[in-house]
Amino acid sequence: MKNRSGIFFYITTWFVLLFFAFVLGYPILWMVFNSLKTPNEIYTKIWGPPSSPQWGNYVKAWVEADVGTLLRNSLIVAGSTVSLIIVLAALTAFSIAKIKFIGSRLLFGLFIVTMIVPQQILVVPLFGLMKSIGIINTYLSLILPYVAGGLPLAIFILTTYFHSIPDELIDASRIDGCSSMRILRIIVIPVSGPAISAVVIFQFLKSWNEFFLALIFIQKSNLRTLPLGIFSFTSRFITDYSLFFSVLSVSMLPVVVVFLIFQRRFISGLTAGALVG
Amino acid sequence: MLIYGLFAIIKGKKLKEISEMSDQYKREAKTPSCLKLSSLMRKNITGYLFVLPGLAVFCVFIIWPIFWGMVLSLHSWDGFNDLIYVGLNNYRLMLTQDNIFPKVLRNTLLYAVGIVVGNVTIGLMLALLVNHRLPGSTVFRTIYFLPSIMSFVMVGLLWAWIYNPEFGLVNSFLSAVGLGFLKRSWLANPVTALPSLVVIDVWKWSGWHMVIYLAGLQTISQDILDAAEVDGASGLKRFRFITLPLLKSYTLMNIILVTVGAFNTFDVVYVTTRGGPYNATQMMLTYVNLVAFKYQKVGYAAALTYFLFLIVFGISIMNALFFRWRERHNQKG
Repeated sequence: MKNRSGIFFYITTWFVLLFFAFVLGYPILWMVFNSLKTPNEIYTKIWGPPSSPQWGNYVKAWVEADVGTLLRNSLIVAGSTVSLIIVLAALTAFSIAKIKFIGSRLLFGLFIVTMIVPQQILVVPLFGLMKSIGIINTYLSLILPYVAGGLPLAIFILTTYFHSIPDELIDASRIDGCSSMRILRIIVIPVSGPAISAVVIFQFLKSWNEFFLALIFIQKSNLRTLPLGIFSFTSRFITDYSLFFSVLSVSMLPVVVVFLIFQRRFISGLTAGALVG
Repeated sequence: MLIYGLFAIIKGKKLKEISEMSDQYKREAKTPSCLKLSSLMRKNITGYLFVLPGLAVFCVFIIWPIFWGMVLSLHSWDGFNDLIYVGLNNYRLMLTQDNIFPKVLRNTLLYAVGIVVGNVTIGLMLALLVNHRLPGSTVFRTIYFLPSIMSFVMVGLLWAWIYNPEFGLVNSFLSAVGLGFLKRSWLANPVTALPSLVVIDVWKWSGWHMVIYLAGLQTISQDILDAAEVDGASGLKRFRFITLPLLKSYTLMNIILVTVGAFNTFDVVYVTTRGGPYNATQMMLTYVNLVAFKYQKVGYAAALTYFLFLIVFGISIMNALFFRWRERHNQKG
């Protein structure tokens, strides 16, 4: 009796799981299906896969939306943002957690308080600032606010992690004559892989997907990042809708592939980011 | 010590080895006392030097804009010419004369309530379902999580097509199951536009909140649940009186995150409805964008963002207090 209700329970659960998988997954699959249809088929065959996949759509999408340039711009912006955040946050976090200078707790409090404030709501004063230092329409106008916006959370994650490294180890190497910088480089960083990869993944994805500041600060078409470029391409493109879907699919592909390869790291990285902020 | 379920997992083995190593060092090393005072000063200076670069970037691009935003909000500025001091006039205008602002506030609050309820309940439900570890649950978890790594711009563009009145999935599904009378152009209708955006947000983020809840569920020991079952508590009762209370801090965290997200909503609105129809989906940031960069009333927009900043900062302080509470709580437990 008990066993039979158990089996029934499992089957129901499995069907509910399947239902949600359909609701959350099918729109993505549908996007891929539509990207492979002929323009006409999009109107005539709304559900289901294309009758004969038009792989040529992808080549056309790549060329016409200039996805190569957009990817390059996004890589430059997100890559520099993440590297700067790691360097600056590691220095600051090490100082707060292990050097413990006078006022370090106060500074840590300042970072915690601003941790979840999105820099997008500072867009108006930021715009004034960017104009007055004259970096509108450069990569820097995105990188610098992204770095500043990402720092508090990164510092928080790294500081909590560095706290768990035993003080005795640091003191011992200091007596052996290691400078603080060397201790950070040789001892602290190598054992902090998980925390660092959490910061890297979280901040990379955040700056990779950022749209609002890019829309305001970047007006030159050759500097557009991926979301901005795809949006401006699709907003002027109206006749060939299979191309619209191929552009969406092509631009989504890199992140999805990287995600599927490093899935465990991604999920733990993104939750670490979430769990602390 | 701060203990976040996940940190415990990602910390892994390495640290244990290190602490064993460090015990060895401890036995050998002792600081000579005559070095203490000067080394204390040196320590502080090194500390400040390490903090300096990060703090500088943070101050210029976060602290200064916060301060400068307040100054701007007291001026009238078109973005090009000189600032004209107008005192609190912008705020007065915002609260008494602007007839779009109350609508914007109402939309943002409704949207916030919608996505908090949607994301938290569906996120929790998905976490409970995946946590049963049936065959294929990791695949399901991957599928559920996938939308949250996608850019909100792409998601918005995709959903604009899903809501397409003629060729979209929603209407075609409705007519297929015989509910054709419900068909409408979802995003162009002032009544359905905002709820439709809520659906997009929940579709995109519920998987992420699921993962946060999953981290929470891992901290609940199976023994407690088994003991309750032996005592005759039904599944629903175990959920209501054990699982849910133990997940309280995770729920609070999810609510805080979603609420901040609601006040920061821009991308999805901008690429689907642009705040329309008739401002039915106009949110704080889309309105700020309109006022500052289309109407060139930068000073007034600064007042709007400052108002928004105060709300978000309030939530942020709550978040910080919550972390302190949790830190203490974890120390005790």
